[in-house]
Amino acid sequence: MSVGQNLADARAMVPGLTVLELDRPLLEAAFADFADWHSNASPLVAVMSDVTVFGDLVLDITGVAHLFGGERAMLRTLLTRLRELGYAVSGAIAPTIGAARAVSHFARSRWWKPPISILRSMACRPPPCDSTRPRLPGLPRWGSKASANCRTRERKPLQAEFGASLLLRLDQACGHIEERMTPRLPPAERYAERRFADPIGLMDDVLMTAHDSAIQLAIRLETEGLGGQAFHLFLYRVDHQVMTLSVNSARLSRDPEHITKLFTHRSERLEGAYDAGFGIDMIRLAVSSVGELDAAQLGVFSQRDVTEDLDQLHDRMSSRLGPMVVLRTQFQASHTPERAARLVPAIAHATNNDGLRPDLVRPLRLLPAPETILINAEVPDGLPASMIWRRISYRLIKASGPERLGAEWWHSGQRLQLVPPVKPKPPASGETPEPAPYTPNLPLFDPDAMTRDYYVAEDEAGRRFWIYRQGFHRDDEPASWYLHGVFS
Amino acid sequence: MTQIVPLVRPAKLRAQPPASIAAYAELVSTTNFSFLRSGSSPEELVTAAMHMGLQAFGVTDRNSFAGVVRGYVIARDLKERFPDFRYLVGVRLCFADGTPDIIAYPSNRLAYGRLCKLLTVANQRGEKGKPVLHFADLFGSGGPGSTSEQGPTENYAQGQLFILIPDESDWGRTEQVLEQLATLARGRVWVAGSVRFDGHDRARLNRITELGKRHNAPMLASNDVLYHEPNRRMVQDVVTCIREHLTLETAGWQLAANAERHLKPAQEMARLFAEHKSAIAQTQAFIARIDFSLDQLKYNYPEETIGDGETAQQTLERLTREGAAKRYPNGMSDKIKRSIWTELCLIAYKGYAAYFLTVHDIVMYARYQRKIMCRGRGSAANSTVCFCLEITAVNPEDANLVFGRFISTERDEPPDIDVDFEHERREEVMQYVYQKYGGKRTGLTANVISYRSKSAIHETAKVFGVSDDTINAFNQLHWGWGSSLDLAGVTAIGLNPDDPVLAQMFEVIKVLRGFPRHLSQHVGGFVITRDSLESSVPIGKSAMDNRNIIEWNKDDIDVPAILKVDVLALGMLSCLRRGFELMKVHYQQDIELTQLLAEEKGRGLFPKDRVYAMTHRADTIGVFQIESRAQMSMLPRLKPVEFYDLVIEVAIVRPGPIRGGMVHPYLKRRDGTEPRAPKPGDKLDQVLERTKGIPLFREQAMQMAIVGAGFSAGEADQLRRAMAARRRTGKIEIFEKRFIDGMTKKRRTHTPSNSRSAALPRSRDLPNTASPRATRRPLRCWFMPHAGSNAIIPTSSRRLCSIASPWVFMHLARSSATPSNTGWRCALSM
Repeated sequence: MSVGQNLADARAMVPGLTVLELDRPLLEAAFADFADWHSNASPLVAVMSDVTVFGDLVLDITGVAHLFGGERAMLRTLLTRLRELGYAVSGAIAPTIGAARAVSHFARSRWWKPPISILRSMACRPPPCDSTRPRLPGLPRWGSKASANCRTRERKPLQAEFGASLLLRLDQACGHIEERMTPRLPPAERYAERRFADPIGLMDDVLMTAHDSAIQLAIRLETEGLGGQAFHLFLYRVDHQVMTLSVNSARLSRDPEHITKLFTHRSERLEGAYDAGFGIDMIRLAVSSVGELDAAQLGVFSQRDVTEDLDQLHDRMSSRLGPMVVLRTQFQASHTPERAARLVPAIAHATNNDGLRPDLVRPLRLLPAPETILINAEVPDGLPASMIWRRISYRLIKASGPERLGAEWWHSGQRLQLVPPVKPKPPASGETPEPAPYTPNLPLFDPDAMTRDYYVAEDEAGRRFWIYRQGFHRDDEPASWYLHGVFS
Repeated sequence: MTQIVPLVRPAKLRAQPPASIAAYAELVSTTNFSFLRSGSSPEELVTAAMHMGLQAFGVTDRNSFAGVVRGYVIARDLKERFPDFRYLVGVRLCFADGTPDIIAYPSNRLAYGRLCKLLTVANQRGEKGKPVLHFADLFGSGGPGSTSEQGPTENYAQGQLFILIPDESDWGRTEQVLEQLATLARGRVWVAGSVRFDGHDRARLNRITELGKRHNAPMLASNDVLYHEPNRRMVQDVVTCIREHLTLETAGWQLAANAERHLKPAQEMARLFAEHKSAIAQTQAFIARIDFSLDQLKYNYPEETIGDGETAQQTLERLTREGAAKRYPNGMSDKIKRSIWTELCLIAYKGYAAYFLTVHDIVMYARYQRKIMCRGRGSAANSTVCFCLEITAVNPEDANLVFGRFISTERDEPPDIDVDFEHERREEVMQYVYQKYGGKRTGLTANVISYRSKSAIHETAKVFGVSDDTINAFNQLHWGWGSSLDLAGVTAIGLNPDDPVLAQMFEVIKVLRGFPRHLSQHVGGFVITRDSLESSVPIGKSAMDNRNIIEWNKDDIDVPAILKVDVLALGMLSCLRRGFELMKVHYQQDIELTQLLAEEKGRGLFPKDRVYAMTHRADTIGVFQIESRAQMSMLPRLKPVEFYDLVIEVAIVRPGPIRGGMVHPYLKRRDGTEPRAPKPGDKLDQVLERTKGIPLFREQAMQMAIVGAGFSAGEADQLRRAMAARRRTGKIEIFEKRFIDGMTKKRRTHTPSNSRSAALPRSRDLPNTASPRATRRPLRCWFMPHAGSNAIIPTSSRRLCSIASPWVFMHLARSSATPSNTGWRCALSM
């Protein structure tokens, strides 16, 4: 039996074969976690999912290999560690992703930098037929010698016979076509890390290490004059699992105390989710969303320890309670008062005040819902003279308005009534009626269905109210009035 | 910022006697010719103003007079019913330097000319479609360069009446501008006050009154109208979003808070301005000072005399005599003499002589000096004078056409001579016209590009936030002009037409169709004036250098009776010229266009039978007018044997006759399989004699309307115009009803049996389908030489076509397997 064999063939060979179906999602998830752990070797780790069942693990080791004592040593270290854990692995280091994949899959030796001639022959060997990749039916016919010369052959016939993927692979392996990897974790340019000879397990130890790392990171950021808004703590467990804790701050910061505090609050929210397993052997603190931060601010932050910034409060609340729980209001550009503001997470980065219109008269407090009132006012749109609100009568001595706010007709929860069109004057007798001009009817928008006339009214005691009449005045039924907000 | 004002005792107000309805005129309005800034057309606004009983209504678009003619036409048409209504022409001056908008109304014809010049200055300074106006321009002291071509600076403000629209975000600037304006145009300045229902109305009106008092500029009531009825707020919001590239959800403050900027009746305005009654009265004072209407726009055509003290008419007569001698070497028949005499009399009566001379001059210049092939077409082909002047090539005697279609005494409408030139060399002719008459007197007419169904759907759907996929699906829907929404189609693409958002969207689309989108230049309609053109209409900038466009559409210039010379480009002419050159080089035959035209007389160069036999084989690739696939599939069935058959062929293969089910009856009757009993006494039958009882041409429709449905000649002409401009208005539906009613009534008296009632539904399709026969007719000029050369030297002729039109090349590529290659070789060696 061999890898890539047909199930029917295998069954024929071994009659009592036990067949188990692959649980792909589970495998993929497990493999992804496994991949994350490799970020202890290089920050850029990706899973290229297009070849094997769970994908190929790809590490970008640019500028990393020397930490392990060279590329060959690095490959050996990594592979040995995995083999010791009981995995069957094969790996290769090559200048391109395609070449590395070709060598690791198909080459017999794990030569770390294969000469290009070998590369040529290796990449063109028929790949094993697995479920994810279509078999190239013609290639074996050619014989290995002929297929070894794939690269020197005319491209057109090759493509005609084997499809474009062969040429694509070839070009990727030779570096003619760039192949990109998408890192699993956000690549952090700036980070501080600590390795432990003896794995640690307690949360307090982790936070203490985080604090240490935060100080390291702060020093580095300070020399560069930068600050960050998002901080990530990676906990590498000995059993090849990675836990990530992320916190955000509302404004750029590099204050280690503040960062530690955020992580502390965040860890309180973890409860049972925290599991150190057999221990943590490395902790990395990385910063992203980096921006310019003047050096002076560090001093300001550390000295104002007692009177804390509102932003820091927001940060701490958000990190303790969760970012979607701590909200603030933001102005929205809408004429309808209820829609003129909405709640957004307090942690949300940029605050825009596009929706702010200081020229509009708006009360300090808007009632949760407009309340019905009785009003004595001149028709059709005269100023209100007296009001009864919650069974108390108010005499309104001053008022201004109306401010007419039409419905946002495109928010059409309800079909609106039909408006009678403008009636033309009846023609004088004897004349033939002129055909009316072509007017398409727009029956779906009734301007008085939802229109409100807002008034600001002040009573004898100086209380100012924001009241409105719903719709236009009609002779047959009295208009309904509402109190929508109070000034002062 | 809150304005708290002491409450006025309601009792006091009520105690006042009800005021009589004050006369009111709306003087500030924006129509949809201020592109994407208004929700109503000038026609709708003017009609609504008339029905509301307003004293006057003024169309004031942004830096443009583009829409004023439309409003004028509707006001003139409804004049009988509303004799007291005044239609005014103004403009809203929008400045690039932060000056608040100023409405300017010319008080007389001269002031109107100045205003046109002012707008021309702005147009020339800005990009195409984006005029740039500075406040200083108003008094003629604009920046350098603006007046280089205009001669000495002129005080454009002279004779204008101004209404300042206060800029509420900058009262200081408003006051500053008002001060300047009031000093420089003393006694001619008003300030517009409007009730916007934004909560500050009382404060604003009081403030404007005070402001006006300080500068002796009274407040004038206005509603700054954007649409004629409140429903149109939807359209207004949508066009705002289209303009700002926003969706309704994201537009926010860009949209108006309420729907109050519609046209309001006098009573309502009087109520809103109850505390400022004089503001209403000022509108009356304002319109009383205006002494201008578009009637006064007298067009004067440039003189075209050769000298020797001849008048234009005398020159025309002389040239006609000379031309006639050339055209009819064997002497003229009495009929010809009579028709020339009639035509000349009519031209003299109408004073169109100079116009004929202009066209004659252009044609002569092109044909003899530049050797550019050119031919007149269109209704001009009906004129013997045009034939004699060598403008057209078809003898009206042969063609049986009527001069009345070209010019008539009843129809006060300028004649229309279209001349085709070789498409590659038309520019030379245009430059000649510019040189001869000068850039200040010559302009191309504009072409108002309107929203078609597709673009309206596309842009509206985007505003409603519909996804691109759905928009593409909408494009599959077929909406003709004026036809209603195809609800079944909406269901077919998987959408629910009852969905409130979709329903609203379709309502908006219905209105938006036909809205002008921008001005483009007409293909070749030249307007030439004796005086400076820019004192009649503002001149805009064209995308091409050295070209001027006036702001009015080709239909609009009929109203001030401006004459238009159409200098059009035709690829087929270039093709023919090359063909003649080839014939000369390779066959040593020197051919002229006129030689080829004598087909029916048997004098032709090409054997007639071979040419028609070719059409029976549908071997007409690249033959002008019958080259399309549809035409090619029809030809073998129709089997044309004379030229008139081709005229029918071209007219019948059109969507109208096909949808109207006219094709098969005609073919059957032609083959004789369906008997057609001629009714000698029936006048209607005579009209349809030549087309076997099937109405195909617009002329036939007119005659049917007169004979069959009892239309008067004038009404029939209106019908023709409605057919021509079907996209613009719903007028055709009104006529359709009258037409069918009239037909049924007459039919009852004439023919007792309803044997031919089947013809009725067909006539319903007629209006939007029939093509003018006259345009089909002169196609002979192209067909014969072209098809002829095709029959004799087929391949080289095809090669020529492929040079002139890429479309033919596509055909050729498909049929490149044709065996004969001699022609190719010959063409390639050219």
